[in-house]
Amino acid sequence: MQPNNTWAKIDIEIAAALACKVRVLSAPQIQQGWQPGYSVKEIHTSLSSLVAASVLKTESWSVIPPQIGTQPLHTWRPGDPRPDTWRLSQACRSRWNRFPRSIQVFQATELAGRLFGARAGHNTRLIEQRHDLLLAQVFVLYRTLLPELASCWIGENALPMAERGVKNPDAFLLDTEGVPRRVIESAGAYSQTQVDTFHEYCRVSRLPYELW
Amino acid sequence: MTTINANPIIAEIKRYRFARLDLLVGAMSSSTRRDSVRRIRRSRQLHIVTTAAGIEIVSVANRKPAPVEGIARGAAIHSFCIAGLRRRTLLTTEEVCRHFPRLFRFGMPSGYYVDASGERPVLGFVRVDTGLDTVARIVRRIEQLAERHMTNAGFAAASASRHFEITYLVATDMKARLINTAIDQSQHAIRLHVIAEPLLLDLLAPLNTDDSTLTTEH
Repeated sequence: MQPNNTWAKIDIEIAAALACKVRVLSAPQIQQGWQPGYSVKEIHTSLSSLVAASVLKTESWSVIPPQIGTQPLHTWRPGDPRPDTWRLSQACRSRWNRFPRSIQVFQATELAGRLFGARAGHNTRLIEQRHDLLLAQVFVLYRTLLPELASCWIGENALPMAERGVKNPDAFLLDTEGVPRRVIESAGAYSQTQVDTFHEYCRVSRLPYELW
Repeated sequence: MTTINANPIIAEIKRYRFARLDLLVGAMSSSTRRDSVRRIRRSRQLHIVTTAAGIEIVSVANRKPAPVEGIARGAAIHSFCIAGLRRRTLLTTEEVCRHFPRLFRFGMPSGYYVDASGERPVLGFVRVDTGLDTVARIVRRIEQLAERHMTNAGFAAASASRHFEITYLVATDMKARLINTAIDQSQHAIRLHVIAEPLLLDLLAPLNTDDSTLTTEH
C-alpha cells in the first residue's frame, strides 16, 4: 500500500469526518461509509497516507461493536409529549449484552483538528468507546442513506465549548446559516437520569432530537 | 548566468514574494508559456520549490531558505489574487501610499489588495492561517483587525460604502465554514470573508512520508 503525496478528495472527506463530525470511526465503518464512492484500495491508501502524515492515529480497541437499526430509539420535536425515559434507559442498557471484540479504529490527531477547525487529538476514555462508536455508526448510516444531511452534521468537537457543567449534545444538523435543525445523540448505555438531562436540554432549547 | 526576458513575471514574483509558476504563465499562449517556463527554470535569479502535490512555487533566489510558513503565505495570497475569476492585485506599501494616501500610515502591515472586478474597486486586507490556529483564535483576530481598521476614518468611510473588506485564508472548506458561522457579521461594518485555499493543505500538512516537505530546484 503506497501512501499518496497530495490531498485527494477522499483524504479530505475522511479527515474532516474524524475531526469535525465524529470522534472515531472503525475500519469496517469507514469501509461501509465510503465504499459507495471509493474502492477498498483507495480507502486503504487514503488511511495509510493520513496516518503516515500524523493527521490520523490508529489503534485497536476491545469493545462491544454497536448494533443499531435504521431508526433511532426515540425522536422528539417541540410540542411532543415527554418520553418514558425509564423505558428508554432500559432499551439503551440491554443492547450491550454481548462479548467484546478487537476492532481497529481511526481518530483525528491535534494536527487534523487544527487543519479542519475542531478540537481533536484527545485520548478516548474506556467508558466513552462504546458511545463514540455507536455515534459513528449513526453517522455512517446518514452518510450512506442521507448524504445531504450527513454534510450538515457537525460534531461536538467542532462546536464552541459548552459552559462548565453543561453537556453539549453529540452532534447537530446545521442549516446553511449555521442554525441547529436537529440534535443527534448517542445514548450508549445511558441511565434514566442521563436521558432526562438530555431531554430537558433539548426541551428548553426547543431543539428536535434523535436519540440512538 | 541566464537572464530572463520577462520583466512582468519578475515584477509579479517580487510583488507576491512567492508565486505559483502555473499562474505566472497561465495567461500566455502555449508557445510563449513553454519558453517562459524554460527561462524561469534556468534562471539563477529565481528559486523554485515544488510542493508534494507537484505545484511549483517561484521566488527570487535568496541565500537563506524561506520557512514553509512564509512560502505558504506568499503562494496562498498569489493564488487568492490570481487563480479565481476576480481581478485582484496585492499592493506594495508604495502603492498604498500613492493610491490611498488617506489610508496610509507608517508601519502598516503588508497584505492590502485591490479587487477591480466590480464597477468600483474594493480595497481589501488579507491574512493567511499559516499557524493553523484554532477557530476561536482566528475569530478573535478577525474581530481585532476589523476594530483596528474602524479606528481609521478612511477605512471606516470605505467600509461604510462597502469598499473595504478583510479576507482570511485557511486550509480547508470545513474550517472556513466553522469560522464564518462563528463570526457575527451583523456586528461589523466591514465585510469579512473566510476562504479556503487548498494549496495550504499540501504545504502545511503534506501527505508524504519523506522528511522534506518541499523539493528545491536551485
